[in-house]
Amino acid sequence: MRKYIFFITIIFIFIAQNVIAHGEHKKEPTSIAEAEEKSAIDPMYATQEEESDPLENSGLFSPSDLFMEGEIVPAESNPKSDMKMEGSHNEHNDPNIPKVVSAEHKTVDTSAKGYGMAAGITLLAGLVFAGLTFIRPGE
Amino acid sequence: MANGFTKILEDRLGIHLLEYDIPEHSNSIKYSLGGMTLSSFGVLVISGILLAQFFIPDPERANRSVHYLVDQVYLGWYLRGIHFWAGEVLTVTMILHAIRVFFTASYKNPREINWLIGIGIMMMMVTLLFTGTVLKWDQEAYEALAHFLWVAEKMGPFGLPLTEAFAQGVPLLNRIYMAHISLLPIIVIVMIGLHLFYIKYHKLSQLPDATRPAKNIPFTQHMAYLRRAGSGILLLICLLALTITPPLGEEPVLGLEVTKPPWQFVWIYALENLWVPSLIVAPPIIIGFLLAIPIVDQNKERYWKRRPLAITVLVGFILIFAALIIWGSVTTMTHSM
Repeated sequence: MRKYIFFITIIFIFIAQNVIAHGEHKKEPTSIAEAEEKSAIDPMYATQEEESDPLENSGLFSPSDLFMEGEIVPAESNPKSDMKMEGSHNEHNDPNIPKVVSAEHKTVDTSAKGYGMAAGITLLAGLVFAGLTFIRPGE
Repeated sequence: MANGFTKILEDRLGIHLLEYDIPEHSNSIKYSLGGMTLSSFGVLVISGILLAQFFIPDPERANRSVHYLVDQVYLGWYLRGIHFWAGEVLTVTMILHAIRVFFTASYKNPREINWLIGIGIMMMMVTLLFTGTVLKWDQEAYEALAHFLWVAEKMGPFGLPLTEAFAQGVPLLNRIYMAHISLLPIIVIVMIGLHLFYIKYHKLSQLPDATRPAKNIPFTQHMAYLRRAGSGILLLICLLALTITPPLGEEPVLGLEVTKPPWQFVWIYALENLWVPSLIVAPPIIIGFLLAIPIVDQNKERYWKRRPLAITVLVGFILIFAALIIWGSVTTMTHSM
């Protein structure tokens, strides 16, 4: 019997310590908004201000375009669903319509990033083909 | 030592099962066009996986992400070039393969099923080509999608899953990207597997003018030939990627129709110029015609000189398509959708 009393006493002491440690155990329940606000500044998720985004100035991403234009637009107002095309092919002289430059094949600029490596890969592919053609292993 | 190691590999991996006999004429370019097409498809899959690391499937960012890849990423232009040119080479070898199969009447009994699977693969490849064109999201891509949506809307409830109305709030480009990188390749791979299985099951067709069974070679010898042919295809793709950049425009101006589709679709552009509803009518007629070939043609003759009607149809088909592609390339659209 003493053993049980001692055990229960120990448990209550731990619970009491826990209550004292947290203090405000009778606090009003936190609202969702408050919880979200807190979570936003939770150090686990918060980014430090001095950290800069390496792609910030790349022009590729914009922090404001979380939702895309036309993403939650009713189908009837979506311009893509309106199949009335303006004008005829290769002719649009209306100054209000932006000029569209048609994309064409171009010769690769030798100053393109990694051109030397690309030439090397192509040369390697050529050597493999030449080797297989002259040696013809397995044929 | 090498022989011992090879023997271990053969025993463990069952490579000796590939030693079965096939006709000697399989080791020729015209009977290896399917293998070359498969090589291009392999290049497309590998380069596509790499391209996917840099692509943002979102209407606002897709075009910019492709420009970023081409202009800023090391070897990005080369990677995109390889993917593009692999698609072009695949188109050519696939068409030549289909022509060879028709010319040698290899679709006839008992290989009808493989002709049908082949047409299915071709349709999937054309769909992959179309979805790939749309993904770069420039003016050409937008107009291609606009035409596609027009056709889908005309198809009523059958076309609904292909429109934005099916999944409102989800950009159609996103769904097209999903189809391009997962759904369609999975279907193609399964169909290629079936295609290869039925080639093995029915065996490679004999030469049409053969008077006696051809001399046989082990399949591994054909694999060695295909390895060389595949490396030649890879070299061609690399050379094209190294010298000519694929077209890439700026973000589209919505509502305009000013570009022409890639050459693979120019024939339908020409037909549309003649009669707009041909956009809806022509593809099913052509697919139906191709599927009907082994069912309608019950003539057992396989040598081309003794199949004048079939060869006339083949030549007519090629000439009509060539004429439409040339005319579509030089003409300007006269209608407004």
